[in-house]
Amino acid sequence: MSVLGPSGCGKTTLLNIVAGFLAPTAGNIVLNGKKVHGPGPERGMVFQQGALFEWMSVRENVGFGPSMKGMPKGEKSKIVDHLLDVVGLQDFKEKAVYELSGGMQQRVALARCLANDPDVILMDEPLGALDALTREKMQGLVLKLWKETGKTIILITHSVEEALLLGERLIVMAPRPGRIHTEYRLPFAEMGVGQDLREVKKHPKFGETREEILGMIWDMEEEIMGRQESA
Amino acid sequence: MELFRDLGGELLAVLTTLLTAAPYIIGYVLLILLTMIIWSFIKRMLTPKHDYSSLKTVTFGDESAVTSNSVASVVSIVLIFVLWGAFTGSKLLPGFMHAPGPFVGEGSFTYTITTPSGETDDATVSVLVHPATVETAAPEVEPGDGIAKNDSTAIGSYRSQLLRVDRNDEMGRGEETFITAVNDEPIAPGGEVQVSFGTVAMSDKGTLNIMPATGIQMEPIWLPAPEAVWTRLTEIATVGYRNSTLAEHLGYSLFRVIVGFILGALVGIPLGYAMGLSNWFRGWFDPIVEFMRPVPPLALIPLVIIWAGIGEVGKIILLFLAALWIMAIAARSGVSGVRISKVHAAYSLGASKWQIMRHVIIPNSLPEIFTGARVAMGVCWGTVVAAELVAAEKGAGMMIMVASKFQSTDIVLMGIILIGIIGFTIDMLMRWAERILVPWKGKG
Repeated sequence: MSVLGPSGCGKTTLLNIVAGFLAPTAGNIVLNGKKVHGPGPERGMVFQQGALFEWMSVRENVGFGPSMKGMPKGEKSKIVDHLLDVVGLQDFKEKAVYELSGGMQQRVALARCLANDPDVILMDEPLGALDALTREKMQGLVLKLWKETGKTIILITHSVEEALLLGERLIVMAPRPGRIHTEYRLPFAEMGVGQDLREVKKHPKFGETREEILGMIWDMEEEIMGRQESA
Repeated sequence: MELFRDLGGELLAVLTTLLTAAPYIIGYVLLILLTMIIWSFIKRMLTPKHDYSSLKTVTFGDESAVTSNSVASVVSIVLIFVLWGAFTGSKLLPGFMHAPGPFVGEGSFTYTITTPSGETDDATVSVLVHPATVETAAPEVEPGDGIAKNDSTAIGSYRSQLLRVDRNDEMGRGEETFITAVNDEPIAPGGEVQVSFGTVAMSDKGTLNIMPATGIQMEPIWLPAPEAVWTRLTEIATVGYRNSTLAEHLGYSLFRVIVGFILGALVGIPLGYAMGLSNWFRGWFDPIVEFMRPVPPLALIPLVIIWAGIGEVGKIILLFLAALWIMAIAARSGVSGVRISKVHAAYSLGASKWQIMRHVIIPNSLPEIFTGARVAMGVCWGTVVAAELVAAEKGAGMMIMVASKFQSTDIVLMGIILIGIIGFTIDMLMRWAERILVPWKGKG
């Protein structure tokens, strides 16, 4: 599921509430029939950047969750090795995280989150700081992981294309007050699994939806500006 | 108002001193530029540069194009020793490199007396200038003929002598007979005449003041030669000074610094953590820390001496206080500096509060703590030397303070150099430890 919206509409706030870092002013977050109070390992989170522990190696970063649970060493290293294989960082296992490029660091962050085997993965603009090419590769990786693990992923982004490509459901939020504006159900994520994402983007429906959403967000931004000018 | 006038006068005196030093400073700068030109010429001859920075067309203003030239560092240090040697007449340097030294040897001049009846007579004064450390007797001379009789004297180098050369003459001041010329140049009270070995002046009462030339070298009591300092170093390292060997003096100073620093860190770091993690502790200690931080540790010396005396306890309390606030502030900013996304990430990975403390907050604060430790060690080293200057029985500062009272400038210089070397070594060791222990510093 991807969440999209103009800046300041409360996307990150929503995610922080789901993660349990913030308490909602009204309403509840319910996961698997249980109410959420505070953060927990069943909701893993991938941050934009700079949330890795730079005093640990890649291996220790990925193994952080299992270590906290007190998992035995053998079992832990099996999980870590497997995940490093999945994200393609087996050769960088003993490197310090600050020696890796931005894209590699985000792959470590993904693997670290998966190591805990969460029910839901929350992603707060995880690819926002990456260059266009790396970003495209990472989008493919996120799709692959989504399909392979079958986990629910909530992805916050400010890129309409990314939201369309990765979201089976797409929610457009509106600001002041932050609310859900429109919800889409999209076929592109299914189409993109194991496919060239550029082919998906050429689909006529893709361009159409993109224009529609862009127009929607554009109108919201206009409205905010107008309100500010009249105020 | 009077204060402002006094301070203005002091300022004027300082500026005047600076102005007299200006030619030397300009000369030194010219020397730097000269060596720079020479070196760039030599380098162009020897090794044409082929690295990336040689391709840069813009180097002025490009910070990355400016690196420390090690040749310049070596030349600068060598030059310091050469100047030191040249102006102290060091035996390590060949004689032609010495600055003109004081006159040593035999010289003479003649003086002329004139009697009231207009009669004149000459006599010769033989002067023997000897090194101040060697006792030498005045040479024997024949009195000679006439009213004025020959004289002789021995003067230590750098000294001068008022000599009543007319005392042994047949007619003196009592007979209205006065010295009227030196080396046939007329002289009057207050005047002076240049002679082969220096200057002869006449005091207001008509006595000759013999001043052998002093040259522009430094007297050993102001600045001993490098080899004298080295000799003193080996002597104190083996024999000792004031009942303690050099190793004991330095060892005591280092012991105080290390113990004081460790105690300060042991208390300061937990205090800083508490201040970084709890509002109550932050509120409680903020006024205390913020007040104590700007108080220079040296200002506490009198109080510490009153309370704890001049023994080890007092010194260690002082250094503890010097390190405490620095370490507390470093630990506090290390804790507050942890990025919230790291803490959030750790929570959503299932870490408990204690695990976040142990695996996130502490490692994240270590670089800041190391920076604080480096500053604290520097401050402690400075403070211990100052505290020993005031009162101590052993220690580097005590050694140079006592030596200065006995005008043993060589020990003072040696002590200052050793204190500098140790301070530098401490800083280097801390940097090295930082590189080994917190390689992630500045990489977050």
